[in-house]
Amino acid sequence: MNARAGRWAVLGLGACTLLLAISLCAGLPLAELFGSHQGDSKLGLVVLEIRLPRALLALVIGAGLGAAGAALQALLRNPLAEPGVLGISAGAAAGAVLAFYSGLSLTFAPLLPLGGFIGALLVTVVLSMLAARATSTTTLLLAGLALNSLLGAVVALLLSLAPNPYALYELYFWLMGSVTDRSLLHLALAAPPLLVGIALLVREARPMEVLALGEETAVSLGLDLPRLRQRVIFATALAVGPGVAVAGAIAFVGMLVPHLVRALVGSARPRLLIPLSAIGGGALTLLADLLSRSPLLPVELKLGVITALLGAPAFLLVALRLREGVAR
Amino acid sequence: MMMLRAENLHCLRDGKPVLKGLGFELAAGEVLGVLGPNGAGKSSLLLTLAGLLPLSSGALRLGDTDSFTLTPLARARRVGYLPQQPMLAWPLSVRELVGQGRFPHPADPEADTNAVDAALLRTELTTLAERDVATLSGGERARAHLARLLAGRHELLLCDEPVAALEPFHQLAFLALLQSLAREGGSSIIVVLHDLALAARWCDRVLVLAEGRAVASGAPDLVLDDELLASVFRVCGTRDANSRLLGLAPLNRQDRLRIAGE
Amino acid sequence: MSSSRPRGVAARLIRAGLFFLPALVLAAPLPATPDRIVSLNLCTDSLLLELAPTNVSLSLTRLSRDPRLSPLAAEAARHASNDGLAEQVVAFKPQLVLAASDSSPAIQLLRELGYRVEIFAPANRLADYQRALHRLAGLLGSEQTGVGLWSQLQERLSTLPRLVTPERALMLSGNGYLPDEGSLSRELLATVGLEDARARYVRTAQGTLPLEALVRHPPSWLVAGIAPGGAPSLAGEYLGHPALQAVFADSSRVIPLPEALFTCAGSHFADAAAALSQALVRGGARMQP
Repeated sequence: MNARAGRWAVLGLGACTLLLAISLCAGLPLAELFGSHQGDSKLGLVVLEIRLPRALLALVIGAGLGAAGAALQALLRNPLAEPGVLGISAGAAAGAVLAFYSGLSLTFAPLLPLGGFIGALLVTVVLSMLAARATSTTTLLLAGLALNSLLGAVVALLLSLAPNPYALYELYFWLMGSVTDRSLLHLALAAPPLLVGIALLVREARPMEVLALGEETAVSLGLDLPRLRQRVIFATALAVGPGVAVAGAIAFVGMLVPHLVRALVGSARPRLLIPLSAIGGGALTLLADLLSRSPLLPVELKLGVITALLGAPAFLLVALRLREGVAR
Repeated sequence: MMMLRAENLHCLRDGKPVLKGLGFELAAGEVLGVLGPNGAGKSSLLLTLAGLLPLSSGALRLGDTDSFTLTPLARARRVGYLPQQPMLAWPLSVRELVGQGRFPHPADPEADTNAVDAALLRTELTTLAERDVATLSGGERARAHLARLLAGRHELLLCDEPVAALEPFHQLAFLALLQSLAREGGSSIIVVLHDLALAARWCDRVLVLAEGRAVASGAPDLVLDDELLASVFRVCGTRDANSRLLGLAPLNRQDRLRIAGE
Repeated sequence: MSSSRPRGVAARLIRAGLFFLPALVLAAPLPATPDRIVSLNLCTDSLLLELAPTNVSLSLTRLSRDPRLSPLAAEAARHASNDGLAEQVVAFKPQLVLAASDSSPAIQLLRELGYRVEIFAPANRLADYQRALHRLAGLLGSEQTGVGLWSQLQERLSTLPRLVTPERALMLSGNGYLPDEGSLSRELLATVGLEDARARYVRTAQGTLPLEALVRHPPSWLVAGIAPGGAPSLAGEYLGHPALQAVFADSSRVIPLPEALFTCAGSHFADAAAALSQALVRGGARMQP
């Protein structure tokens, strides 16, 4: 479609592959790793059972966040929209926490990503109802912020109700997000619905294109706007919820990646933005995870801390560039 | 057969009635100007025709089809809508913008490309096709949005105050284009205008609305007589030798008092 | 979970205190056998329960009623409980208040109001525990009991089978949390001849041990702090991770130990050591005697 976009897509996929390789091997004695002798089977264990699920989760969750951010920004025509800021991730965390600490997910594991999905869905439905009333951009953001705070408090409340000596530590996990020491089981629980959600979002890109002309004109061109909204919020909940259920709420990726893609590719069309944001989201999250445990840092930080630290200054940069350039 | 026939249209907007029994007809290949003071219901009429505002009662026929039986997509193929101050939520090139007009039609790359190219040609934007719409001048941008409308190959085009923000040169060029679309292309066009002189010059017929009702319709030279100008618009007209409206002037004191008294 | 009650309550208390200050000042000297005592810390709760004579009224923290945190939970439930709030202390009218640190606002307020507050920092070593026993016993007038408890503990510990040669062990709590350097765990391990391998690992910022490090360099023995019962928590997922399960395929090398037994120093320390010792025997280690 767009040669420049195509090049960036390939570059992005290449980056994902490279980061994956680094994530799997970094810090491990390479000779042993690739050596033919099975002497140190523990290395294989580390790579397969610890590093692989961690890296793949970071990729898939990041892709979901990136795609969801791009879709939300197109649907709500709001450049600051993203699952974290709008409270969707917090809703997913509340749903997952409910499923986990009630013991339900211990009896049937898929209830965990389901809880995350339902929590995310409830928030996206509320947001969509607000958007349908033609609420202004600012009001929608404020509503999202309020939901975010509310649901964060709900998570804290739920944790305090389930008496647990580690409550504070686990609260930190749910609200900041981390893929550390997640297992292949978590990957198996979260990846399928996440991938379906991403695929659905990519598919909705085509009808969303006509939203460029504004909702009124789009409807005059035959767009079924209510149905489109329903499909997009369903897909967004699917692309965000299960990820939060296994890794906590990771902020900023959904807002940052579409802007980066826009700046690099020079286009904000959903057909380009959504798939490229998926790729970019995966790469960025994996990079953030690598940074969070890099020897450069004195201590290992939570993934969500890194994405926030990366997100804020980079976002300012992008925002300044946007203002300098042609009015977008 | 009339391209469009409307009878006794009633419509509510935010709970308030905006069309109160409006009726009119439109022939194929006609440019109909819709005029009237603010709040007369001009934009609401266009929204209703575009299917964006539901009718509370009345009959609307598009050719031989009852408008109520049309699915949104079927209507979108036949009726194209250009809002006041069209906007773009994200940057598009001229070609990409025009391409959006193909949305109601089933995807057919060849037909789509032909329609887009034709629309660009008609609006003389072929050389600007790859430019970012935001970098165009006001007149060019208006033409680009019109080209989007044209790409849809609709039978009926609805334009809500398309020239209000343009300089005179571009106003005339745009309306000339509309006229030729109707004459040569056979489209029927309904255009809402504020400028009565422009309407007089470029429309085949005019429909004057006031408070949700039609007060007059017909050829502009006949309809826009001094009495109508005074009663509906509270102005009087300057005319050429053929009595065609050239411009407007304020009412003299006598007439103003008379109108106020009525 | 110290109270951050608004200044309103504090103001009320201070006003009330000023009223009664003369009375309190007169009441300051501690009776030889105080019979109303409040403890504001889990470990001082434990000390109290061990040393206090039966007719004494105690107010203990709510935490000590939780069997996951305290081995004396059943007994603690027979006494009044508090949440560490100064207001509750005042309502109890104690002659003595025990706390673990001076820094909480509640303690400072109580001091201002004239209550007798004694600070017992948590014991990191048995020697500290002995000193604490001795001191509290003196305050309570139950010196005999104190001496008896200590000698009992010593005797039990001395008769436990220990490892012939030291083997490396790690003690981990939920979420892979590695207790601080200054905690009882080192001494506990040493009691049965285990060498604390903690120094070989680098902890994360939150004090946990990265799973990868544990999997690549597993100690000979892994003592896993457990808190049985209660709501599910993410804490268990660390120890349940497939990689760890694979490394410790010989599950007798993983020794579950209720955290309640080693959170605070007390007679139960011997129970913890005994459990470790038995587990070592079951795991086929070479012991003496």
